[in-house]
Amino acid sequence: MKSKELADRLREVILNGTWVANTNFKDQIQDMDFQGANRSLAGRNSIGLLSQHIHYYIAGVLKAFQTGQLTIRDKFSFDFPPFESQQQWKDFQESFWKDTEALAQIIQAMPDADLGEAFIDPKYGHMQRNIDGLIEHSYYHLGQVALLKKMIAQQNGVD
Amino acid sequence: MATIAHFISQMQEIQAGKPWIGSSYERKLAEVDPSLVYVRPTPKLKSIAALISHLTLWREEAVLKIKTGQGSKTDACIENWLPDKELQAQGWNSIWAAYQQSFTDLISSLKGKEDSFLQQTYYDTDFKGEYTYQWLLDGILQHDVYHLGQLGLIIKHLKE
Repeated sequence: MKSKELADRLREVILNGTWVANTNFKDQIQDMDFQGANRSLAGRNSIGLLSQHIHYYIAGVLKAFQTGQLTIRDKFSFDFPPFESQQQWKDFQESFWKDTEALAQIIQAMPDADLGEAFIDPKYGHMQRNIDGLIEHSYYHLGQVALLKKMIAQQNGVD
Repeated sequence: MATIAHFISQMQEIQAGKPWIGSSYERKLAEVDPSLVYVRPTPKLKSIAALISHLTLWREEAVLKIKTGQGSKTDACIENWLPDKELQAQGWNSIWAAYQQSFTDLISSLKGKEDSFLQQTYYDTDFKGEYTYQWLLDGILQHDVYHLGQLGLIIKHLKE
């Protein structure tokens, strides 16, 4: 029950939710082109970079569940070049959605009792705290993505 | 596990502590000249005052739901995003005081409750159905974090 709720909260922020913010990552970025995704307003992180930053953690936690090893590092979490084509941007998005759903399914399949177990190593805290943190971190940057998208649209005279 | 104590701790960090995600609301707002709080970053974006007032509304609603089992507002209500004139009439000190009071009231409404309370349900006026308090509190925390991410960008934009 708790595992299913946690998995659904992850799906909500990335794939399909509207309850918290009336939007989610997929809703925000799926209709953008790669030039818009690369666009940096006054030196701020681009929407493409923020999206890759969030995916980095989701893919890293997914891999940790699959292999038992946590290899992601904060210092590398913004190390991504701009997208070079629409296809590259679309391919990234597909990985983002696929990895999110794969992680949600792993979380959903966990017995509730396991949520209190150590995440990979006791030094990282337990499962639920880490997954909660992943979701909250995603909401933090989703707020920024939504704001940046509106700013870009207004600069383009679209909205 | 997801406990009331953990929720309170997370909310306190976001409000005035040192959240792992960055700066708290109080720290970010301490950087802001009060003359900027009503300025919209762009014509169609919300001001800091509007954002803080918006957060206050949903915290007050959460307290109402915790106390009575039912809310009173929907996303479409006028208080969700008050017009600029109304916000200016209230004054920043009043908006900020209401925000801080809503935080105090939310924490007070939860203190002394057992974690089993999180599995009890309330009627959500906006979503027209029964939901658990766990769902409500997760949503409030995530909502605060969502707008905290925006606040930093708005402040940077206004300072330029």
